[in-house]
Amino acid sequence: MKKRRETTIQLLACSVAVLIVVSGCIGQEEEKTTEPTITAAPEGPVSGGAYIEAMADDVQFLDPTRTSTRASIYVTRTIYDSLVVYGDDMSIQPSLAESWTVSDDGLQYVFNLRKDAKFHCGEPFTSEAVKYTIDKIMDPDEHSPIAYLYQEIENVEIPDDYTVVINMKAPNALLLENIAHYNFGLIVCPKCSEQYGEDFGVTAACGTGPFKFESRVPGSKLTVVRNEEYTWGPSCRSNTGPPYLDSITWRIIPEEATRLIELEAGNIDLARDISPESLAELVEAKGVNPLLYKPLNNWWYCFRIKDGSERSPLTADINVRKAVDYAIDKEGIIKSFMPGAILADSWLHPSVWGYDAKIKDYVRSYDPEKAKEVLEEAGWTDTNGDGTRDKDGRELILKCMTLPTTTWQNICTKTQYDLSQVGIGMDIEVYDSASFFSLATKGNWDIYLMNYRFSNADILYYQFHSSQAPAPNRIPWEDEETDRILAITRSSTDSQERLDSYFWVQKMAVENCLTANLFYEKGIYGVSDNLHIPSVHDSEELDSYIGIWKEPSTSHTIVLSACLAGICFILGANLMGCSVLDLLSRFK
Amino acid sequence: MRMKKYILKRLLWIVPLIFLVQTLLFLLLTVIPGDIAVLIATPNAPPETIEALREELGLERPLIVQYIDYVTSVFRGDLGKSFIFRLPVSEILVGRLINSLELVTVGMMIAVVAGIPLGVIAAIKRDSLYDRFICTGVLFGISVPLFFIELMTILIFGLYLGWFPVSQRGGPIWTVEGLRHIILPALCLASICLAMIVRLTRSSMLDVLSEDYILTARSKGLKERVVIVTHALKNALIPVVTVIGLQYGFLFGNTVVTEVIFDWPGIGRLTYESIIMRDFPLIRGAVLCIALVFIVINLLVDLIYLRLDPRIEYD
Repeated sequence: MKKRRETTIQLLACSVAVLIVVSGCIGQEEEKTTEPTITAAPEGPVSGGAYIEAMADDVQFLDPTRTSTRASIYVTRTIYDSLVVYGDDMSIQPSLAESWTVSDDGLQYVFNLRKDAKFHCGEPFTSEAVKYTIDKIMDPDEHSPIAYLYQEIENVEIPDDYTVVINMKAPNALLLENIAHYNFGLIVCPKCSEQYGEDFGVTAACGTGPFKFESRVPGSKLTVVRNEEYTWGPSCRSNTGPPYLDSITWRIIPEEATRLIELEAGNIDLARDISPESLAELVEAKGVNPLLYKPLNNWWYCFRIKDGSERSPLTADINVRKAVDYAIDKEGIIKSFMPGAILADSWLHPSVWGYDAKIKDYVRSYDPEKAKEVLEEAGWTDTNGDGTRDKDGRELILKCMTLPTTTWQNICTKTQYDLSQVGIGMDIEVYDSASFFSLATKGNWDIYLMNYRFSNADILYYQFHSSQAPAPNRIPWEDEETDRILAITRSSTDSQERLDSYFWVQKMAVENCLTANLFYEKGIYGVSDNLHIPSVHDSEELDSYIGIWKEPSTSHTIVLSACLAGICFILGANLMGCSVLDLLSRFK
Repeated sequence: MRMKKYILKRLLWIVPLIFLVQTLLFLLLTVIPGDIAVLIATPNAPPETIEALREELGLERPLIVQYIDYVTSVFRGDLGKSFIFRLPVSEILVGRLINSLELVTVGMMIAVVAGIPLGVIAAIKRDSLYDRFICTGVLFGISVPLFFIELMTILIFGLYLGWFPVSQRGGPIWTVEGLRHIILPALCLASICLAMIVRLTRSSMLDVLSEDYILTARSKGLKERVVIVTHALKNALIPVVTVIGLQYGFLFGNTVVTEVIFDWPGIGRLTYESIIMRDFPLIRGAVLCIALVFIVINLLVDLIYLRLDPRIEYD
């Protein structure tokens, strides 16, 4: 008996030693580089694995016709497909539509649909679904937040099950881009939409996408599972067949610190909405990496030039606007708060069709002396010696609005310092997003900090066309010539004419200094080491998750479990009074 | 009979209290800036889309109409539909309320189980090293902000030691996962009232220990354990119970920070998110829920108080 106890103790000691050594060996991490990159797959993609992602905001609707929030877009793009998608080079590529033609006058679009696609409920995908979806978006009673993108559509005809004809009231060269953009052209299942009524997109969702909706706990998590039958993925994607992942779960974790800790603890595979302040922490952390991607995000200061309120904006004076643009040290902001960002020279991201590098010739670069000169010439001088310029008894103190996020406030504080160096004061007022946009639309401010994400050049129309005032044209810029040129950008079927028109608008915005463009942001994900992301698309970010795959569960856990099982086995054998081999033979 | 009348009277008082809470909340929500229609439609949407959405949500109606409609709906038991989730508010609240009650109850249990013995030890070992150590801990618990304690707890026990998960609910509390998930947030939440319970138990015990009947008990030759537990503690607990009851309601209203940091799907986090999103029906529903819990807990405390000290009578 005593001998057996000794043997047990020896065996246990050996097992524990092995366990410690093995754990230690597995825990050895490779030296991490400070330059984050997308990990190259050591072997081919592996199917399987539950993928968990954390994001800050909850999904609003799972019906793409009823929402346009970012969180909803991430999810709906996995459940639904659109007629066309953006390719890696931002060109329009086929998806549910195999091919399409546009009439010479731009008034008719004919789409030839795939014949092999099916909805998750088993219904075949036909032209009826396309007509149903577009009609639903355009129906005034539906109050679709994306209806404005389809306002030029006259009607949709379906001559047969696999042909869709869209007739336009007026040409809109952006129709294909709008369909490819985010969730604006995703096709819903008519049968399920009718069956569930108001609950469609709330408790049920049905599309032709690579993942099927499974469950949702509002404010907590949402899960979709692999659509095994999916074989109609866009040919421009890294994977056209069923996705590799078994399921995707989005967990709603509002606190960034908690998202990061959950990532480092290995409880999630990818954390979204990571601020630049956390980049260094991600680089240092074990088992995770930052993934820098290029979203179509432009950061800028918007100037108010007209106000209906009693207070006339100081930025109504173009010289003040120019001085601010000269005085902001944009490179300094990037260096301090926005690692990886590049200086913005236009409203449009260089990846977006319509951007023209010629705009660089017109951009104002950082020059505080020039800022002072402009202000002096315009009569803004410091008459009372308080360090802030004034004119006609009015102090040059700008009222700046911003959001309560650390990054936003940091940028504003740095700007406040830069402006103080040329004699411009700035009061920063911080509002939560709900208040911010309402107050910004009403006026009574001089500048506000903003960023937008838009994958086509039509953003210029929303920002500078007089019909878009008071929002989103909050400047508000009301100019007949600009309106005429912007109308051409939408209606012309001549690509060169559209390109020239876009350039004209960008140049006009710079010359009139309607905004101070800061930088194009690099987005940051926190990604676990065992996750492989083939590409992060400029527009769709994660490529509808179809190409993402996970390495099988880490050997760490398996080995530890095996060791624990071994210890239990040894103990069991000893308690039963037999050797390990005897016990094994009994199992046989 | 008198007791039943008292309880009935207290229950009837709930109606005007709820009415008052709802009226104040309605007024507050009307004066804060921010438009949910802009958030739902996104800031890029044209004004007509935003107007249509406001109409759909019923925000275009005159305030008085909205108020009357809302109050009558509440007394009919209909809390409306959430602007964001588009689900009935009551449906969302039920699950969240249970999760919060679970968290607060476990937190309070930890505080009581640890706080009362610590308070007793500090009192009977007055001015000893134990007493000083406990009092320092209490001072720490009272002075350090909750969010700091929570972030440090997450870092130490969740990340560096990796003993517990740091976010979300793991399932029912009787499962291993459920228990592992609730430990850290409940411990942090307990730290708020633990300090209060320890301080009060200590001072109350010190008062009782100086009473003549304790001297009598000791002179009768009773064991010190019996004197402390049976004679002193029972009497010292009366004010402690009152504070525990009040702290329960206080903890319930203070779960916001804990639930946001630990990603706990409770009513506190729901309140925070609904305020950020200006989801008025959900804000009203969540606040109503918190107010009701507070009122009910107070009633229960008064009844327990009666049981502990039969000399107390309510008119």
